[in-house]
Amino acid sequence: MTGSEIPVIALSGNPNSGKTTIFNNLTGGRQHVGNWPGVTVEKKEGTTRFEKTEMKIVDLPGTYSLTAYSIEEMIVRDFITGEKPDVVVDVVDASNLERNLYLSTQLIELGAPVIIALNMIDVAESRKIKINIPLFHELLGVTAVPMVGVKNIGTDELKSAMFKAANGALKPRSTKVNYGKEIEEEIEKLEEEIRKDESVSEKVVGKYKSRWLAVKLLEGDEKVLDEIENLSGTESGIKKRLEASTRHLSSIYGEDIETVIVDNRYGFISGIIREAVDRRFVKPDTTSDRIDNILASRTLGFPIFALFMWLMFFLTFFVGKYPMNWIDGLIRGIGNLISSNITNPAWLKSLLVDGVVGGVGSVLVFIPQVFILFFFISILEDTGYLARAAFIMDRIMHWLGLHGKSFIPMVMGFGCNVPAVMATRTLENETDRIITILINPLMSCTARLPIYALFTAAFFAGNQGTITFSLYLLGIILAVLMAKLFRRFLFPGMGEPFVMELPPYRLPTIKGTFIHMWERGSMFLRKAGTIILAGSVVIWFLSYMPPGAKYGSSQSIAGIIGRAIEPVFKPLGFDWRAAIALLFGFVAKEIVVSAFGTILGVGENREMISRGLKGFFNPLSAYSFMVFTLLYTPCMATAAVIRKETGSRKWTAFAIGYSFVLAWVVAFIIYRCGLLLGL
Amino acid sequence: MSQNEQIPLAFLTEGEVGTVAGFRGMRHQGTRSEGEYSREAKQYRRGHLHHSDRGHRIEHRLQQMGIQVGKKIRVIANNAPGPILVASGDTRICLGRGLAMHIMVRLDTHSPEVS
Repeated sequence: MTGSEIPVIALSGNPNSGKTTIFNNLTGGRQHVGNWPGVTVEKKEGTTRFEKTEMKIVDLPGTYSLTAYSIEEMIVRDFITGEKPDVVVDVVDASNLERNLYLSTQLIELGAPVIIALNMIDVAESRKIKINIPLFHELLGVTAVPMVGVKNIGTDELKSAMFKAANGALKPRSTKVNYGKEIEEEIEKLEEEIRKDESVSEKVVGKYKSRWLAVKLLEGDEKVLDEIENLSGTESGIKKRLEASTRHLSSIYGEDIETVIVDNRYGFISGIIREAVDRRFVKPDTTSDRIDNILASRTLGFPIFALFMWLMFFLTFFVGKYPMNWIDGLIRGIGNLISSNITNPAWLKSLLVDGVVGGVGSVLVFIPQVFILFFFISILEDTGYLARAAFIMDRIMHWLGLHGKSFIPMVMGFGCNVPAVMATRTLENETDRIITILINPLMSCTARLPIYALFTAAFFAGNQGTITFSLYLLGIILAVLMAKLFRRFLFPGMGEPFVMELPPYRLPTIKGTFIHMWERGSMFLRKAGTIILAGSVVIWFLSYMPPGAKYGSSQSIAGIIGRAIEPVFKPLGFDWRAAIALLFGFVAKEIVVSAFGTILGVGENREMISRGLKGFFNPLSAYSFMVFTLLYTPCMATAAVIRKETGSRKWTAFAIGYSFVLAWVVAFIIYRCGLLLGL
Repeated sequence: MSQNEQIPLAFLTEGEVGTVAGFRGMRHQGTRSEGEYSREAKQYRRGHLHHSDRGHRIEHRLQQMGIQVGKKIRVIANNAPGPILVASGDTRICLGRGLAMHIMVRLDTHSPEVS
């Protein structure tokens, strides 16, 4: 620990090792716990206390090893070598030691101050995997704390171990993987060369151990090679030594030294498991497999999945209707209360009734549906079924030039495009990621629901379900077409092959599911209280001003702006009021609905809005309008996350631009064809 | 089929067990187009990708997940012509068909259970 600074603890581990749960247990912070590989993709921080000492916890991305092959692995590696955390807690799934220890071994080799959190020890015990912890500790040279993350067992012991390690009371003994005589000889020669080269040893050896550098060089790790070349040039002694070593080892092992090194690492792990783990009476986990025999089967997999999806949407819309009516009544009551109690000044009444209640209220009505949909998406994720959906849908996604993994963000997109775009981080291949990000906003998110609900109620009473379904379907079809086009013209060639670890099925806890639902749904609530409120007030102001102009008329500022952009939307059948709603809809799509509530000056009353809409929409232009809002420019939050995830202004501009053009063209075709057909 | 014959993992049906014998043609799988090549090169320079050999990377990923030479792999579901779901030890892995064609296994006729 350095001086008075608080100790930094990094949390590493394989995907699905329960790292996120342990992070939550330690920090008490609420954070999403998903069930498909790679859910912890962001660097998350929190603090924990032990005996009045505060410790900072950094949650690192879930990885299987520390190569330079993926972004996540590079993040972990750079954090450990660059930031030098005081302790690295490696979360290990005790029921799947062999694979999990691969990362632990690499962390130990890297010289990180490792503590192993032996998680899911109950699952291991239930399957009769017995781990001799003192011996395990002895062989691996690091402290191991048995725990059960989901039941919050072992958290205090882990904190105590972290505290001791951070204070230097628990020094890991340096354990060495033996790579065999030939490789060890070359490692030694390389180490010597590294120590000799002053330009390298000064800068790099402080950061890495020289042995680790030597092993990585032999493995052909290009990041390390780059770093060495930058420091000592391409003609250095190290480089020459490496070439000689590689030649020598290739003559013994054939061309691939990396595989030999990997094999030896596994050999080391197998040795530890043989010694310290009693697997004589192990029962394989067959329940998950038995479920998979049905849910992932060729014949039943797809129909069952389609049924689940149908059920999800059916329940969202059907069950959601009832609480929606209650909220509607409540908000209307508030509106009436305000208008009967506040009469002066007139502008304040108008601001509250038309602006605030009309704008925010018309969005709040949809809270139940949003929550129900997020509830189902959380269940899909937490049971592990969403990962199976990737498997089931792979065949279809393949046809699009993507693979099954891209399907997960698409389902999440039905909830909200923001987390969905972030979920694309599990795709290894950058072009797959960009395509998946670009088509994601076409998945109709919950923010667009209020628009459909309003318009279908006004113009398609009786066929609301069918019309809404047609919009969802249109979004999916266009996403498919766009994916194919992008693959064909923007990224010709092939994507990454499909490899994905499936988590075992887990029974989601009611508490967990509700927490996840609340976390995501509350974002919608917060949005209503902030962006939508602000947007509504701005629109109200624009509709109210200048003094003297009739509220929401074409003489108001809103009317003037709307008229200025109206020509763009006229060919689609929209007038200036629709134009201004769409303009503000870029901030958040719900604003489209609140804008109508505000501009029409009828508050939140949906029947009144419907009646008002009939003044400047007919069923055909209403449908064209819904299609346009479905497809056009992703909302500001989505655009921002696209910018962050692609790291490219160009792709963000492209995402905004292409969707606007697509929306315009499709809405135009629908409107004009409809007119031709005499609709 | 003789027990020593190597067949692609993709050919195994549900419930069959095979021992991984090696990877075939993974390092040179497919040919990259000019555009793809220069894009990868760009990612590499930007520091996003540190190994330009794609096949290498994939083989490594498989090893990390537990598909290593000598390991017994059991097929849980084979959605031909779609992906294949396999078990290696305690890990369940979903593999694209193309990839499963490159993993060579020896069919295990006697062992119904993966060790």
